[in-house]
Amino acid sequence: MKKEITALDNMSLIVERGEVFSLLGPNGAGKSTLAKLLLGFVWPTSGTISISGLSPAESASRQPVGYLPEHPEFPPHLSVAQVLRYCGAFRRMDPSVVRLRAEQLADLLGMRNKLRSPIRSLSKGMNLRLAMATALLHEPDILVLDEPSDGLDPEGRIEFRNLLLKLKNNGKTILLNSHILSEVERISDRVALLKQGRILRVDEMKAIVGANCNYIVETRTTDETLLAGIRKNFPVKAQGSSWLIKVTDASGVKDLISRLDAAGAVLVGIRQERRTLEDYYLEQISYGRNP
Amino acid sequence: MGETLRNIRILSRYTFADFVSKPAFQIFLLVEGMALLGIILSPKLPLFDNIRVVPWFIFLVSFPAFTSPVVIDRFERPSVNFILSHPFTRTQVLLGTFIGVVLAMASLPVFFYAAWFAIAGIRVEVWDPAILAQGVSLVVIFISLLGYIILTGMLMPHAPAITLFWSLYVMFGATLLHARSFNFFEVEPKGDPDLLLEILFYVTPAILDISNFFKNVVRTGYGDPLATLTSLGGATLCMILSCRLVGKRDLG
Repeated sequence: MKKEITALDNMSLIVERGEVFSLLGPNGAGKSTLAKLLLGFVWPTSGTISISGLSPAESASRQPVGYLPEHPEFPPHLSVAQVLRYCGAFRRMDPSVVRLRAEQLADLLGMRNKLRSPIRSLSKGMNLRLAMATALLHEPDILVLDEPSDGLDPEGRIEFRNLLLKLKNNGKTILLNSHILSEVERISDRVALLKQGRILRVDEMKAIVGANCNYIVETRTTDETLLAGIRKNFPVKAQGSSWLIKVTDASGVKDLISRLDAAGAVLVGIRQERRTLEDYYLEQISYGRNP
Repeated sequence: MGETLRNIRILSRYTFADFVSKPAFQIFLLVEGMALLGIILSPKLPLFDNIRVVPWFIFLVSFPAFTSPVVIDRFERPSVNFILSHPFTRTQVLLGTFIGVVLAMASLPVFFYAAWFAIAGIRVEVWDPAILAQGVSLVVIFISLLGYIILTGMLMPHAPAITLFWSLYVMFGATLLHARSFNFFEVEPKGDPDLLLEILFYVTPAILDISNFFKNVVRTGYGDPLATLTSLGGATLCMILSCRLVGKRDLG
């Protein structure tokens, strides 16, 4: 008997046309489920979803959408070109246009020499590039990308990020689901944080990484109890004989100094650093605090 | 309506292309070609001695041996999401895939029977429409059985019903085999069926049922109780049928 779980609950979200909206959260937060709901792979038990005013139950709602699944899988014995040809036919594209687009995308995604190769001979990264090609083949207005650079080498990730930036500049609406926070930070306009099927918060990227700064408090102590207590609230990193504690607001710094002082720890110094999406993510997901 | 038919057509074409490109299918085609070559080169046209058994065995037992798992795998794998992410309805995907697989599978016995009929006709100059009708009925029965198995597999990927229908299929096949349906088409039987092939007819699905049982256990970790029960039930049924028939032959 399968155990029933509520994958998503009490969720209300609007992605605006032309924006890059990212979903962040730990594994099992419901990010992929949300993408699957949008594409009609699974149906909600209650509530409504629409893409450009159409319900996912209507097949036409998927016409303007390009989807890159988390684990793309294609018929292993067909060639790359065959898969792209079938994709074009699925989208009612003219065969000559499909051929042209396939060549363009093969150049763009660095898989020109793989067009005749069977899918089974492709590496994981190349398979992902093919999945991206199938998603972009019909030049969709909306892209749903589930872990687009998972499995790519560093060079591939940079290429992918640049491609996403290009798509963003071309006015595409992108729903991005990624664990690579640096990538999300560079591309996204807004992010939603999900945990256990619920949205914790939705924020503008500018507000997350713009004006805010972190404080790094450097201390020296051997008191393990004190450190364990601090770790519950702040990220702590060892550096030589010191400990670096990251705090997001001035009042937090004040409280921390009081705690260190009370425990007899040596305060080496305090400095400011730019706040990243990673800091924001850890605050919200791991420490459950507001910035 | 036109749009729906068009979508079903393209999906079945895609499935057909996917299916015939599988090595298992190509190996089967090769074996079929070799069998036909054997028929051509053999001085005594040996298949005519076992006219009632050999085609039945090949058509009804060997082909579905790898059909059911293939179709079930297809719908369990994430590849179905690739198709579903395109502007198709679920019904279109289901029908298109079903037709594609059935056509691909049916092409094997159609090709074999047509070639066999032609070779037999050329060699012994027997162009009996009754034999051709026998072949057509054989293919229709094959497609019906296969279609049933595939459709069940597609609708219920983990369904133990697959195994149940395997058993039904064997029973139905057995009835057909032993009813000597040649009489219906007024074809005179030539020679006795090969006992070994007849036993294989029953043992093959039994082995498949047992392998299906192990597959269930491996996949789920603990085994779906209903699937396990029907897999073993199906295997037992096949073995009982096999034993009973062998026993009957000995008595006869």
